[in-house]
Amino acid sequence: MVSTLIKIENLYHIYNQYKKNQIVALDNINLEIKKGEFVSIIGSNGSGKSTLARHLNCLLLPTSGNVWVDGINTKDKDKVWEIRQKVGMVFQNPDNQIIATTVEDDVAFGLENIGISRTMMQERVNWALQVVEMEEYKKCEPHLLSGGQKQRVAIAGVIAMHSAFLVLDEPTAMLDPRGRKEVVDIVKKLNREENITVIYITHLMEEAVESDKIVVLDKGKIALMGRPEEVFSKAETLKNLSLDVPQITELAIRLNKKGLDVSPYTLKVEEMVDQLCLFV
Amino acid sequence: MFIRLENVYYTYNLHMPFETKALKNINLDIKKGEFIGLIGHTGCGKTTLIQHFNGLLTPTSGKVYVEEMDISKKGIDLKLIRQKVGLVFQYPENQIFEETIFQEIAFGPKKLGLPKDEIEKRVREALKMVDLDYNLYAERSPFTLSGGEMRRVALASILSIRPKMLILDEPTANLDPQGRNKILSEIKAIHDNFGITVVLVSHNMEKVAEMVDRLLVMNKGEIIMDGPPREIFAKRANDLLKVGLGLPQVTQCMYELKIRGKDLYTGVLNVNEAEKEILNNIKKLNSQLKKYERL
Repeated sequence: MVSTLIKIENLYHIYNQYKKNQIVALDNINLEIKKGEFVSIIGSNGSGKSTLARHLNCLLLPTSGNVWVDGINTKDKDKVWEIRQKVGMVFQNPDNQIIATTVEDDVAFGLENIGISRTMMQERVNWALQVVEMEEYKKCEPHLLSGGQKQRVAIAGVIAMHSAFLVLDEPTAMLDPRGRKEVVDIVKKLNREENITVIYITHLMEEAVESDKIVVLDKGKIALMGRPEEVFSKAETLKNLSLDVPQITELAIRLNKKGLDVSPYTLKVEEMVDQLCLFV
Repeated sequence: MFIRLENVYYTYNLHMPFETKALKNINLDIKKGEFIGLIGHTGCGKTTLIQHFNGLLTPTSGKVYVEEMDISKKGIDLKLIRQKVGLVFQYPENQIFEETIFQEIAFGPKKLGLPKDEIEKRVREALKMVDLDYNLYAERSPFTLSGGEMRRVALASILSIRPKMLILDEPTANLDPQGRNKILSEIKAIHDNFGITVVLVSHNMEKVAEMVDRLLVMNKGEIIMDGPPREIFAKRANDLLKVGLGLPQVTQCMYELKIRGKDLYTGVLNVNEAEKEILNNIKKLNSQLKKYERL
């Protein structure tokens, strides 16, 4: 049996409640995330993506409704640190989340705060840096790293805590294509090999293609939810939500309409090439 | 010729332990009214190059001419050059400092010593160019705007100087698809309607390919490709992939079909063109089959 590890029930979040500038950021969200899943959350700016993410580790609490992590309600004040240890977050700007003067110190920062032994700490830091493929930069000063490398160090800091969940809030928004690929590859590897549950927020559709489930947010509501091929085949709906469909999917949908034997659920270039090879 | 670079080299920390050659033998002509896309990895010298266009950096060796004036010489009026060549940095919204949007956009014209009514005219004009309503926005604080709107205000504050050339360094970084498309269509309109020469620095090959007339590809301090995007995709797709810059998805699809022995044209810029190319080839194939059957 697959256990549900995060459960969100009738979640509302209202900023500035009862004031003139009241904003309903989350409007009745119901969502379950299972162990080992890779869930992408997409939506335009202001759709509530980050607000939702911040509910997963008690950075924000529901205005009404409930969020459970591993059976613990996030409203339980005594369990805040337990939840934060389970759910690690990586944010958008790599320069805002690195604090130590060397890479290994930065990865160890979280561990220092939970008071584990030095040998154990060294073991975990080495392991985490190995997983994100940054072990050769162990003694390096973080400011000399590229954006993609800094984000990988931030990810190492989370997994060194043995967090079961990794929440990434637009981790590639400030990176170039090469840095983007580095980060995405590492996140996929963590999900596959280390069985870490990933919640990945982005507005780049290409990055959401390989997830198990995509949640599309619009004005605080879940507008679409399902497997990538289900979500992307609704090109018109996505465009109306001012989101982009990958070029290759748009091409597949058009060719399919013209009567060609091409699946409208084509998400990757290779899949398209394989199909086209049969009759071009 | 609007801008000409001759044998330009630029080295950071010259004769120091951390000496880095950022530009190597750049030769480049930019004509008036061109729309150019500049693409390359982080650290390839893009930003260093564009800082030469308005004299923020002067070459370690070589010459830079703006409208036939050698700006690498000493004693040149750089203020005049910077009126001609407007540079919009990355995250330009970080440079916003005034209390109202009007004051922010009026800052440049004020420094030029223009009369009051001319300043207002310029602010109205610039806001219109970035599609923001003067009556709704002029008196608002720029800090109450969304990220995309702030960036457009920052762009307007350069446009109010009426530059002949506009250089934009990653104008869409960190914006969502809607904000990104909005600012790109405004840049396109500014180029088309006002004849302003535009250099667009970007990582987004898909968007750039559709917009520009000419693509400059940089790698390790050198310009390795220079030409219309269609030509570059048709002839040098392989080299682009080799330096790891990637192709638009539809172009890559054509390229891979070609590798598998299919006779397709790889110089497609968007979904429309790719669709046509594929449908045409199917028709070709069908008519060949018919001919064969008749024989």
